[in-house]
Amino acid sequence: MPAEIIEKHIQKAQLKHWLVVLFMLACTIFAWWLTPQEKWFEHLGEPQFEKIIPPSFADWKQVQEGNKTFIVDPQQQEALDEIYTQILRRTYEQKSTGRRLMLSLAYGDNQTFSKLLHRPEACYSSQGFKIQALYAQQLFANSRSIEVQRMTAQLSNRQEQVSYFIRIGDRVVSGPPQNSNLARMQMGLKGYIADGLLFRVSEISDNANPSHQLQDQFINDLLKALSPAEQAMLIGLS
Amino acid sequence: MSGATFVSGLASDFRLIKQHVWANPAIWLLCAGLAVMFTPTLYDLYFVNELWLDDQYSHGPIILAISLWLLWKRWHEAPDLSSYISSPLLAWVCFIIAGNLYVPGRALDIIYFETGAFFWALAGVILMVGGTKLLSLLKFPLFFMLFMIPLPNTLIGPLTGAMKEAVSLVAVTILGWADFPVARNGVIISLGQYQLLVADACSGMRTLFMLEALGILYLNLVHFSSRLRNIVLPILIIPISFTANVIRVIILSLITYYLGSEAGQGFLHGFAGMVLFIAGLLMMLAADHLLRLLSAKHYAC
Repeated sequence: MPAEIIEKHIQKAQLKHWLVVLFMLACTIFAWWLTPQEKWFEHLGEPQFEKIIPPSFADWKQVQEGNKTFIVDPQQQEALDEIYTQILRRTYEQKSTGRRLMLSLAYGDNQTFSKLLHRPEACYSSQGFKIQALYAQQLFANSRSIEVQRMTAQLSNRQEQVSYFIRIGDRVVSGPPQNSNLARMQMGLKGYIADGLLFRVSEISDNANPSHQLQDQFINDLLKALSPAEQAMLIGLS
Repeated sequence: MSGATFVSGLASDFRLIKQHVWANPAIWLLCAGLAVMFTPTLYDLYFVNELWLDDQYSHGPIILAISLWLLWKRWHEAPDLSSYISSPLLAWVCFIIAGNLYVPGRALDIIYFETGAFFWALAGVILMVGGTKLLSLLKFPLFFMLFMIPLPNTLIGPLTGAMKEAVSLVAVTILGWADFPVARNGVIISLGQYQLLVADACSGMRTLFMLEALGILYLNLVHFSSRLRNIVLPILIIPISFTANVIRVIILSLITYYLGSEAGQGFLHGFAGMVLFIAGLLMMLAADHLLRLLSAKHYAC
C-alpha cells in the first residue's frame, strides 16, 4: 500500500472540532451525574415477601396444592429467573366457604429497560391463553384506593379470573401499560433505581363478578393484617 | 507465511494507521469524542442490561460491525477529501439532537434513545468533517445502522403475538393436510401425545430483521440500477421470513412427533434454526433471481 496517497490531505484539528469534543464530554458527564445510583429497595429496606405475607390471616389459610398439569416452557422459566429476584406462589382457602384462590407475587429489585416486570396479559397470552376481558377498576382496601386490573383469561374451556396491580417504586401504577415505564423514569428523576412488584390473585371460575369480590376481600384482609411498613412494600407510600 | 513477513505485515499495518491519524487529526479527534460518549453504552449492552446477548436483539453487534466496515470502505473510496466543505451549522443541529437523546437515554435507561443518539452524533461528525457531500457518500452505512436500534417491546410485543398466531395457524393447517393428528389452541399446537408452545422466538420477528438487513446490504453492495428490484425485494422479504418460520415450526413439530420432546428441545432445535435461516436466504436469492428476469424483460420491451 503506497503511503503517499494517504498523505494527500491533512485536516487539522481546529477550534470547532475541539468544541464538538467538549460538547460530547459535557453530555457524557451530565448524563452520568443524572443517573440514579441509590436503589429504592435499599432506601426502604428489602422486602422479604415469604415472611411478610402471613400463612393465615382473617378468614384465610394457606393450603398445599398438588402439582397441577400445565405446560412448562423451560425458556420461560429461565426468563422469569432472570427478571425477578423473588417469586412467591401460594394457594389460600377461605375457611368459611372453602373457595380457593391463587396468590402470585413477582418482585424485581432493579427495574431497567430489559428487566421491567412482565404484565400478566402478555404472559398469559404468550402461554396460549386467550384474554377475554381486561379493564381497570378502583378498589378501596384498608381505606386506600388502588387501581386494580381485572382480567379474564381462557385456556381451552378453563376460565381464570385475575385481579392484579403493579407497584413501581413508591406507588401503584395506574393507566395504560407504558405508565410503568414512565413510573420507573419518574423514580429515576428522583434519584432512585426503582424496584417493581406484580401482585396477582386469581381463581378458576366462569363468573367474573363473584370472583373479583372474593379477590377484593382477600386483598383487603391481607392489607389489614400487615404493618404500615409492610403495606408500603405491597402498595407503596402515599 | 513465515513469522518475519507476519511481523513486517503488522508493522506496515501500524504505519498505515499512524499515517491515517497523522493525515486526519480532526476526524480522529471527533471519533475519540464518540468513543468516550458511547463506550459506556456498549458496555451496558454487553454486561449490564445484556441486550446484545439477548436473542431478540443479538443482531445489533453484527449490524454495527457491518456499518462501521462500510463506513471505512466508503470513506476510502472518497476521491479527495480536501474538496469537501464542512457544514458546521447542520452538524451542530445533529449534535444537539444527539445530546437531547443521549442524556435522558443514559440517565433514565431508555436504550433506543441512547443508540439513536449514536446515529445522530455520527451524522454530526460526518457533516463537520466533510459536509453534505460526504454525508451523501456515507448515507447508506449510516442508514444501515438504524437496524441496530433495539425497538421498544410495546411496539414489537403485539406484532410478535400476531405473527406467532399466524405462524401456528398456517403450520397446523399444512400438517392437517398431511393427515397428522394435529390441533391448535391459540399458540399451543397439539400433535399426537405432544403439546408444543410456539414461543416468542418462533414468531419470526428476528428472522425478519436479519433477512431485511442482509437483503438491503446485498442490494446496496451489488448496485442495481433497477428500481423494481430495489423496492420489491425488501417487501418480499416479509412473506419470505414468515414462510421460513412456518417451515421451522413444522420441522420442530415433526422432530418432536417422531423422535420425542428431548430431541425437539435439544440440539435439533438449533439445527431447525439454521435450516430456517438458510431457507430464508435461499428464498430471498430465488426471489431476486425472478425479479432480475422480470426487469430484464421490462427493458427488452
